Amino acid sequence: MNWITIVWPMVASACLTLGLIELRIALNRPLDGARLLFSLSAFAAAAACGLELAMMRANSPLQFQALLNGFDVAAGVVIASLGGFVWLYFRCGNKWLALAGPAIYAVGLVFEFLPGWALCDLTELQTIDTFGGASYRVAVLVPNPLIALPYLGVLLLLVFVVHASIELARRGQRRRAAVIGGSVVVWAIGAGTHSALIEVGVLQMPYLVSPAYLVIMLAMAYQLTSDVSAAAQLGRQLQESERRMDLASAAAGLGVWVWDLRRNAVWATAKIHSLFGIPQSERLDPARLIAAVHPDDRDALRHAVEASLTNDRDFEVEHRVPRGDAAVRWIATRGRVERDASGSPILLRGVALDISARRRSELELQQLQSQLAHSSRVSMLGQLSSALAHELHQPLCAILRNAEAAELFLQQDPPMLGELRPILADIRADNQRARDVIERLRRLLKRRSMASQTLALGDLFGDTAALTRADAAARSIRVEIEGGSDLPKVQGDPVHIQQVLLNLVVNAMDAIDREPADDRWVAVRARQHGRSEVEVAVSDSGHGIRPEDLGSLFEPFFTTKAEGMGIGLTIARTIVEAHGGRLWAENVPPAGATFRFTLPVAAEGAVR
Amino acid sequence: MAIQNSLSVGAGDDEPRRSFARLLRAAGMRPLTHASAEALLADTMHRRFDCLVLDVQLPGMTGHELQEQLNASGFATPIFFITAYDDRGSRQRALAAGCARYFSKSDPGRVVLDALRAVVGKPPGNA
Repeated sequence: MNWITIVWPMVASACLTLGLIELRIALNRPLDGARLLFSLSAFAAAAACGLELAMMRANSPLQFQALLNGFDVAAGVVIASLGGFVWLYFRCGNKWLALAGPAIYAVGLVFEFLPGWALCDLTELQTIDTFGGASYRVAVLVPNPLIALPYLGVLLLLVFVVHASIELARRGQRRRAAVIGGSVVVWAIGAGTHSALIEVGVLQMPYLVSPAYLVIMLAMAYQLTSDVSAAAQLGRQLQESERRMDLASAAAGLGVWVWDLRRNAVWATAKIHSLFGIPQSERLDPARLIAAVHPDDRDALRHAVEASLTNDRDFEVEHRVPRGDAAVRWIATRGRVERDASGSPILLRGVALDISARRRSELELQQLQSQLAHSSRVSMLGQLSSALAHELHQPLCAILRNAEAAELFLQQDPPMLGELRPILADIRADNQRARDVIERLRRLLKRRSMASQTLALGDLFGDTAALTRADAAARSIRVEIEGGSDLPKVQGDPVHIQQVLLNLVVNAMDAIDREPADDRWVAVRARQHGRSEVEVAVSDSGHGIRPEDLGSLFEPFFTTKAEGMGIGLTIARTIVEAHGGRLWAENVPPAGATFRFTLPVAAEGAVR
Repeated sequence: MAIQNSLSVGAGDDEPRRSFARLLRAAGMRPLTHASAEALLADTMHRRFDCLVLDVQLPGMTGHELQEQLNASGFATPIFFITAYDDRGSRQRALAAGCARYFSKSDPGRVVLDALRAVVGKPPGNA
């Protein structure tokens, strides 16, 4: 045992250690090609180191030649992988230059393995004693001109690395360029020159390719240390910013989640657990989150996510999460897809927010609106009540007269039974008329929330005509209601649309009453407006709306009537807009005012 | 002597008119009905009536207007009003123009029949 048998194994184990460390880092996701190539070069350097030691202890020229060939291959791998490493690590330099060095070196190797083309002739071995009682073998070599090929390869590598380092330094990464580029250059010059001097017979020394590699190892170890401390720094910053984001999102009531599509794993803040009612200790995955959603809303959420994955748009779903106490929590979940370079989705990132309070106030508002609409209907029917009483009076009187007539026919001798049949038929018909009046009133007086359905305007027009007929007759106003039956069906709530129609017709009659005129009429007309809408126009023979009132007509509590509350038109507009339509007023001579509103054509009606 | 009544009950509804005419027929009278004041005027040229029974609310010309026009042309037949619009103004206007009786539609048929018989001088219960 002497210093040679200590130094070379130490160099080899140092190379192996660094190679393994770099390999471990390289195999982290995503795969790091630069570090993979570096670890390859370290393993090749370890192999070269072993071969150097073996050559020093070779017993015959033949054995030395075989070891030398292997050594040249290992050195070639070091050169090629270092070139690739610099290319990938620096992300600059000339690609062809990086390839040219190893390629020319490889050509040299091919010649070395061809019989009769060996780069050097190996004639004999010499044993040289050195200090510390150690001795080693060297070969007497006679090189031929092809020996220049591998050295040309090393030279090209050198040029590539110098060029790439200068370019990297220009981009501002001076330290990395100096440390990594400098170490590779020092190694190439040192190991290359030394080997060349051995092969031309100037030096009688063992090869020192692997000990020289220690320079690169030191440089990489230094780089690794600064990378690690930078990563630690980054980690601290990341933790800090995560804490800040947690604080901000908690303050905003936001839960934040990320769904890794490749691993099908979910990361989420604590708020997500509490929003979805999942214990903090439980691990999350997509299936667990979906299972926490109200059964009726799960499909909607799934579809929204799937749609977002295909069409690349953000998604937003409002869904319920059942709570333990039979109540539900309303959550708005929003998300966005992130894709890799090839466009395939890698993760979904999003937030969830508790919107129960908003939902509750929306619901309360809806209830208030329907209560207001109801009281407006009741007040409107109050206005029509004397006319409606008359409407009910007519059939009742007719029934009375018919009953009296029947009594008289029965008192005849003989009783005139033949007269009874038409009397009974008339009584039945009058009873039906009275029932219809009551049914129309009942529908309008009932307190109800809006429920949309497909309906024919013609039916509504018929009811409007029936409800206003008596009032119009009492005021000597002609109410002409036309159309509706040949139009496509519309989508809407019959009672609420009836209320709008009645309100406009009663308003029109009030407007006419204020102005004495000979020809007093109200006209209701409906026509199709475009493909998707039906327009209803209510016009009258009054003097129209004063221009200064046109702007404030639909404002709450605006009224021109002495006993009006000023909410009828406001509610009418709210109702029409809730149906997806518009309601507006205009003066169209020669008529007085014209009120128009639109309603969407029902999906099945549009086919016509 | 057969009684011929002409009565028009308005608002375009013929059920009340038909039921009243039926009552008159059951009481042994011979009513003729007209759908409007204008239709009745056209008919007065050709027929003699013992009594006219009118409603106030008619399509077109009102019962009051008809009464006033008939008065102006010297028409002397007694006029009854039977109407659902039993308000003070309407009643006073009809009586001022010389109407014989003014009834509400809900008044019992027997009362109306007795009044009619009194006007046309026919003893009750004798067809």
